[in-house]
Amino acid sequence: MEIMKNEKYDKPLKKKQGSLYTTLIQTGDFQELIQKKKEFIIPMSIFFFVFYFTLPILAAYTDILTKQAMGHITWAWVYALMQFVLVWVCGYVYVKKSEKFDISAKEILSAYEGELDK
Amino acid sequence: MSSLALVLFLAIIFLTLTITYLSAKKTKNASEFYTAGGGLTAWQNGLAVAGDFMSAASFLGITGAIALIGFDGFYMSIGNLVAFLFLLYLVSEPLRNLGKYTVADMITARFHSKKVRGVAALNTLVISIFYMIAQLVGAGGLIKLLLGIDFVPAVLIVGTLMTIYVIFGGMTATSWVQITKAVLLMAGSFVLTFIVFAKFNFNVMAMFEHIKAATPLKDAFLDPGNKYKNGLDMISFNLSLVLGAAGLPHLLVRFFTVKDATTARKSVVYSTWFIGAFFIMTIFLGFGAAAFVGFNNIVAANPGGNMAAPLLAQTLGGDILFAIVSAVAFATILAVVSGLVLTSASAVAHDIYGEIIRDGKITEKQQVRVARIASIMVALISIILALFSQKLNVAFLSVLALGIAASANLPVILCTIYWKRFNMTGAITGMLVGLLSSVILVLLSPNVWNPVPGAAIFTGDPIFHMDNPTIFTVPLGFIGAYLGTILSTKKADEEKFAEVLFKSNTGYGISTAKE
Repeated sequence: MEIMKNEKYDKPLKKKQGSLYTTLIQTGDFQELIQKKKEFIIPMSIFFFVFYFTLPILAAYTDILTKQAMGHITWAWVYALMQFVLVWVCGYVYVKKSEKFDISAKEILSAYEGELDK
Repeated sequence: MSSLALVLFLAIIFLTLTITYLSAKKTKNASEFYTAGGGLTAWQNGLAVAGDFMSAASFLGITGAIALIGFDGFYMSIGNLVAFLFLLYLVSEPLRNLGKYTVADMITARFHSKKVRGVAALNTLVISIFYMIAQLVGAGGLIKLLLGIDFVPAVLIVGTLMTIYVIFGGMTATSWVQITKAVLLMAGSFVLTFIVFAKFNFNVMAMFEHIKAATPLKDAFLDPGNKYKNGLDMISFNLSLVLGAAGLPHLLVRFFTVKDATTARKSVVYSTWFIGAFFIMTIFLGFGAAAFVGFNNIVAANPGGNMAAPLLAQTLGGDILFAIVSAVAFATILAVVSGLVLTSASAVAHDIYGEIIRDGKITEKQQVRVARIASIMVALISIILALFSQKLNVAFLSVLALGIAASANLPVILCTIYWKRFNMTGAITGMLVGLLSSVILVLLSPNVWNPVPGAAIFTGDPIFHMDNPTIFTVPLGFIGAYLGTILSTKKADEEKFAEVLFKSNTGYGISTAKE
C-alpha cells in the first residue's frame, strides 16, 4: 500500500533517533520494567475477564444463581456485588503496583536523559 | 408542568451557562479547547468521567429495567462498571502517553499515515453521532414526559445548549458541566435511595423479601433470565458492555485533560468509586419503583420503564422531589451530549481538517475557529437526524455505538500498543472490518426488522437473529487487524514500535499544554 507523500508524514526518522529507541527498549532496566508489567497485567486481565463472564454464563446455562444465598438474597445478587468489590479491589491494587512502575520509569528516564535530549 | 420544575430547569440552564461564561476566558487556544489545557486534577477528571459516562439511560433506563424485569436490568450496571477495569489496566495510560487531543492521535503516533487517521476519525464520528441521536431522541421524549414540552422544542433546547457550551467553553465548560451533573446525579440518587431504604427499615433482607411478592414476576424477579432467554445473545450483550466502554471516543478523550498517566490512572479509579456507588443505588431505585410505584403504573407512563425513577420520586416526596429528579435527569442529558459534540468536533477539526487536509500546518487561532465551526456542523447534523427519528425506536443506536467501539476501536487500540508486528494496513482493515460488520449485522437484526408493523424501523423478518452481534464483531475486528497485517507486503516499522513502547511505558515526550 502506498501512502501519500508529504513533508510532515513519512519523514524518515532521524536514523540516530530511531535506533536510539531500539537500543533503549533493549536495555536491562527497560526490559525488566516491561516484564514486571506483563507479569502483573496479563494474569489480572484474564482473571477479571473470566470472573466477569462467569456470571452471564452461569445465568444462561445453569440455575445455580437462583438458589438462595442469605435469607431471600439469591446467589445472582451476591455474585453481582462481588463484581463491584472486584472492580474496587483491582483498581486499588493497580494504583499501588503502578507506583512502583512509575519509580522504575523515572529511573530509566533519568539514566538515559543524556541520549534522549541529544 | 409545575412552576417548581420550571424554576429548577431554568436554574440548571443558568448554572451551566455561568460555567460556560467562566470557561470562555480559558478557551483561547487549541489545547484549551480540546483538553482544557490538560490541567484537571484526578478528582475532577474522575467526577467528569462519571458525568460523561452515566447517561440518562443509566439513571432512568437501568432503574426502569430493574423495576420491570428484575435482575436482568442490573447487567448493564455490572458490565458498565467492569469495563473500567479494562480501561484502567490496558488503555488509559498508553493512551495518555501517546495521544494529544484525539483517539486518532494515539493510533497515528505509531503509523504516520493519513489513511489511518482518516479511518480512526470516521469511527469516532460514527460512534459519537449514533450515540448523540439516541441521546437526543431520548431527551426529547423524556422532557415531554417530565415537563410537557413538545418533542421538537425539547430537542432544540438541548441541542442549542450543548452547542453553546462547546463553542464558547470547549473542554473546560464540558468538563465542569459533567462534574456538576455527576454531583447532582449522585446527590439526587442518594436522597431517593435513603428514603427507599428507610421504608424497608434499613433492612436489606426485608427489601428482598418484600420485592418477591410485590411484582407480577413474583419470585422470578430476583433471578436472571426474565428478559434474555437466549444465552448467546445475553453473553454478547455483556461483551459489548464490558469492551465497548474502553473504546468509546468521548470517554477516551477525557484522559487527555489530565497532565500525565499517573493522574489518568487515578482518575479512572476515582470514577469507579462514583460510578460503582451510583450503580449500587440503582438497585434501591429499581426495587423502590417496583414496590412503591408498581409495575402497571410504570408501564402506563412509559412502556420502556424510563419514568420509574421520576415516578418513584413523586410517590416518595411529591411534586417537589419529582421536580428535583426531573431537573437532575435534564442535567444528565446535557452533560453527556456536550461531551459527544466536543469529541465529534475534534475528529472533524483536528484530525480531518487540521492534520489530513492542512498537514498540521495550521495556527492556534485557525484551529480554534475550525473547531467551533465543526461543533456547530456536528450539532446541526445530529439535531436534524434526531428530529427525523422522532417516531423511530432508536434505542438500539446506543447498543450499536457500544458495539462499534468494542469491535472497531478496541482491537486496533490494543494492537497499536501491544503488538510488535502490527502495521498500517492491519490498522485500517481492523477498523473497517469492525465498523462494517457491526453496522451490517445490526441492520439485518431484529433491532431494525420486525414482522409486527411499527415495532421496529422496517416490517419484515430479520436475516440475522441476534439483537447484539458483538460476540461476532469483536473477533472479526481482531481478525481484520491480524489478516491485514500478515497479508500486506509492508513490513512493520520496528523502530516506530520501539518508540511507541518506550513512550507508552515511560511517558517520555508526553503532549502537555506547556508545549
